[in-house]
Amino acid sequence: MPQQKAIKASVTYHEALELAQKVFPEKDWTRTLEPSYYRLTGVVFRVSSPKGPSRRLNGQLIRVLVDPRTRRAWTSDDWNLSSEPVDSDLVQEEPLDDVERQQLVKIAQEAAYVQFLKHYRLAASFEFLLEHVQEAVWKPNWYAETRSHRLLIDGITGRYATATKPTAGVSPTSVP
Amino acid sequence: MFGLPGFTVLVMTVIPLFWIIYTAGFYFMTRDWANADEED
Amino acid sequence: MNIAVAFLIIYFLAMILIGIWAMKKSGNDSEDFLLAGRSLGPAVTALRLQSSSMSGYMFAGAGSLGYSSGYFGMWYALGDLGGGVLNLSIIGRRMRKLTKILGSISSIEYLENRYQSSAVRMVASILALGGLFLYLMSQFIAGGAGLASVTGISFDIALVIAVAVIVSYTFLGGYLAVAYTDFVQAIIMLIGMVWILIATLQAVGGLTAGHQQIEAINPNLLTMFGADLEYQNQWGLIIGALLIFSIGYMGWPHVVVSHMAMKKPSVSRMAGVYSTAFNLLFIPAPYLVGLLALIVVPNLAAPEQAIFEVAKTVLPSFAVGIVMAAVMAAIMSTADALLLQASTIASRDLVGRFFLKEVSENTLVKVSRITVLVMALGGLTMALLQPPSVLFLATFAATVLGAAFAPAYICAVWWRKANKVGALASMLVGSSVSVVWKLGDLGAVTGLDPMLIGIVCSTVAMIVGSLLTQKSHPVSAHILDAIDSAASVTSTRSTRDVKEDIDLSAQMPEGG
Repeated sequence: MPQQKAIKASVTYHEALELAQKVFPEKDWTRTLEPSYYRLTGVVFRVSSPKGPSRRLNGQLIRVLVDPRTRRAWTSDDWNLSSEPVDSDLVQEEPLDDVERQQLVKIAQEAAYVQFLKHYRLAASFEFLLEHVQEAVWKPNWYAETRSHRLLIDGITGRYATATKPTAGVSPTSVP
Repeated sequence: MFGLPGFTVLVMTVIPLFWIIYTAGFYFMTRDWANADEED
Repeated sequence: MNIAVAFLIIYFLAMILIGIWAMKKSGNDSEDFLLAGRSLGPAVTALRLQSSSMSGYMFAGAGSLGYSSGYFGMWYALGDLGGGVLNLSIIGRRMRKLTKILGSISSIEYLENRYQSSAVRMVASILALGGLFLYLMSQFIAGGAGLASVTGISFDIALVIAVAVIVSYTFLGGYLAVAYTDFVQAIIMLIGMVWILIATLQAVGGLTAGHQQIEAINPNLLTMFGADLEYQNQWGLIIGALLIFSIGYMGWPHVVVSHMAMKKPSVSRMAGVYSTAFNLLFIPAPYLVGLLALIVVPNLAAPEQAIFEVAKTVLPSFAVGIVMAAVMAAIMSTADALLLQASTIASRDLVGRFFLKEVSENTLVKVSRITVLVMALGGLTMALLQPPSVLFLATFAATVLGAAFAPAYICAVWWRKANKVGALASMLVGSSVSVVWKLGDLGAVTGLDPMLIGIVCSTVAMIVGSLLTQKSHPVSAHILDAIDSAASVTSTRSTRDVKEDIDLSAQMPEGG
């Protein structure tokens, strides 16, 4: 299996640890801080606009990251530029089925379209040609658990989220 | 004042003053808005 | 007038060049495509927000009001002064956060997401389109009146030219609508308006002398009750005038949408301050100039040309050209914003949402273009056949949009019980009451301004509708969570510099 890569984390282990200790000062860790990876899907489009005001962008690539769970999308830089290899054990990838794939591409297309239109309004005649779908773009996070809580620290922005642990048989209380 | 009737001068002073105070109040009461800034 | 026209053309060319230069300078065209976006400083932000108040209405509508009704017009101005900061303080930050949590792309989609009802989206889209169309027409007419006044050509031809320029600007907008040009235009308009005011005051011999001369013409104009004191004790109408550009403002789709882009609420705080300061300086001016126009250019056939005619009289020719150009530019950018909002609503919120299952971006662009052309031609035709006044159209649009949407947007972030029934009821009741009141001229009969009665009925409908149906149509838990989250300004003592982000919890590993 080809080596999986993840976006390089901007938040170091020590920074994450410091934050974790601030959030849960009691430190009753049942699972100590470790890297955790969240799968985003990367969609790359190529702009086709041979004529009209947007022809300067002809051939340019637009990259969109889509979160398959929350269905949100963001335009983005090239995620491959800053990436490092990761342990294959940590990043299990289930291939997307066709329907799912199509939906994600559609979501990505919308996001790209909205951004594009901000500059090129209505005179532009353009099309986004699907160049490539990278099913897994791994986003780095830091994860830990205490007796009663779960903690996730975003490896890129440094923000965090907490959730109370499910008691047996009950689904998690924190809703995304 | 300025050749205007008293009521006009009153209204033209009081209402703008109200907005100035409101704006100042808004500005001071929302000092914590910096916490909601997004870096992305 | 040739000098004025010449400067008008030079100004437009300069703006186009600045626009192109700025686009090239920003180098990487895909700056939007980066994870990190740039934020404009508070002064620029404030001025960009203000450009919606510096539209054709300020020059044509406000001027005509001052000319015909004197200080009564100031009631509108006094409300307008606070519109910006009111909007920002009541809706701004919370709406930004809520739209982010709900994942809404447009302000109409946001209403559907918050109220969990596609019917809300459909109704809102239609009402928004109607209001935008009315306001658009007011811009067309203001542009035509101004152009006719400065160049001397007939109103009808000037109108066609103005509309043609506006539509072209909308289609090519990306090149010209750069932050810099908006900013420069705003500065020029401010300078222009202040210059006109000062020159006018000089022409009449000072503020007090001016008032005295007005007193000799008609002393009622100095009271705030109209040329025939027809508004004396008409507090229902006066309150309406105060509300239109203050609370009413909170229902305008093209204004409300700017809250969604508020990445840095701290910038908005400062922008609110700049906005109020700017308004204090700028807003009363056209009303005053309109009034003093009675001295400088008495017996005008069309009161809407008051400010333009005064400018021609008191300013040197080249200044007239430049100011006129700045006014036209402001009209263009307002009309452009309106047309784009309308086309987005038509394509995404109506066609894309309800009528076509598979929509490609090309289809949406086509729908957008058609919408722009239909609205432009429709507005042009109506304006040529029977031009209503800018004042009437602007206040009509503001009234309908404000009454229909203000409660919906305000309650979306402030009232957890506001549900789809309340929202639908308030939009439908608010719009129909205000339309009937305005067209039937019931304000004169009842002493209640359409805006006032519209907002009151709309608010009552929201409250009654929501409370009666709390059991049958409760607001979902995740929406309630989102509202609470939007309300918080996320800061805790110990982790003050790190923000909790509830979206992240979706990224927690399974099991555990």
